Amino acid sequence: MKLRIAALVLGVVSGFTVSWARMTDPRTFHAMLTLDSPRIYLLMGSAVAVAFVGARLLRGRRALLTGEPINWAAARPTRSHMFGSVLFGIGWGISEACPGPTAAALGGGRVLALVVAAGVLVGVKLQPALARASERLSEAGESRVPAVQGADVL
Amino acid sequence: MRTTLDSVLAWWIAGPILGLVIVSFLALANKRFGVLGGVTDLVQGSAEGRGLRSWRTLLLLGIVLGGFGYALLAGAPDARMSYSWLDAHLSLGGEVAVLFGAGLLIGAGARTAGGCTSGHGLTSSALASPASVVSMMTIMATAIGTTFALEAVI
Repeated sequence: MKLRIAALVLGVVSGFTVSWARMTDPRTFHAMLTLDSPRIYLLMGSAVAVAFVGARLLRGRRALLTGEPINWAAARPTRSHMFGSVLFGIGWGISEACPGPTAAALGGGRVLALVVAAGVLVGVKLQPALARASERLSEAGESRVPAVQGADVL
Repeated sequence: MRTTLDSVLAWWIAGPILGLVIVSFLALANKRFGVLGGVTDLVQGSAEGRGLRSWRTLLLLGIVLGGFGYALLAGAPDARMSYSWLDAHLSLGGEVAVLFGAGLLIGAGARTAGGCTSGHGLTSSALASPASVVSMMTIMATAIGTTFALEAVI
């Protein structure tokens, strides 16, 4: 229960921040992806830098709510990571949106963010069926496309 | 208040705030910040729970509410029908179709890859997981390539 309340509050903080940084405006990602503006790369880089340092200070300590030791494991890149990331990147390039900022844009009243969000929901829902289909095709030898199972969602 | 909120939040403030959100999830419960997990738990569920029983869905809901809160305070700069530079090239129906298709690619792709910009790009890149660093580089390269290709064709 406490974790769920904390997640809601941290979500509000993230959504507000992302909106204020104008990541809810597709023009922001357009300027990023045409390499006209370094702003979002710097924003993401500074987020990673802060999280990198914070995570290492916390490693081995106990989590405040659950008491479990704070730790993580490294994962190796697989075909699923590569294939899925290519699909995601194409979708991002077309829509100039990714899931987090789209959710915030939805709250901010950007009408067509609703269409992107609907597509994301349907895509996430359909993915296991698509993965099973790709596995069946590859097992049946009818396709040269290798099976893509999908990586565990972080 | 309005004038402060009207100006774009600087990257060196927004980025570290998102970094601290990531650190907070680790410190509270040894959890990974990621938006795609919220979408997954909304439409299907996981070991974290389903729907509002999952903290990840509440994170997603919080992001939407954060976008709404920013809109209330800042005069709703995102509340509009226009979307992106695609507006000038497509009818409304065409744009809806293209954005829904892009959303499908984002949803199915990110779930296949096991994460989106927040999970792979920010959180697990900061945890130096090779799968996430490679995923994020693939996502960025594909998104940039798609943007340049679209600009060249349209």
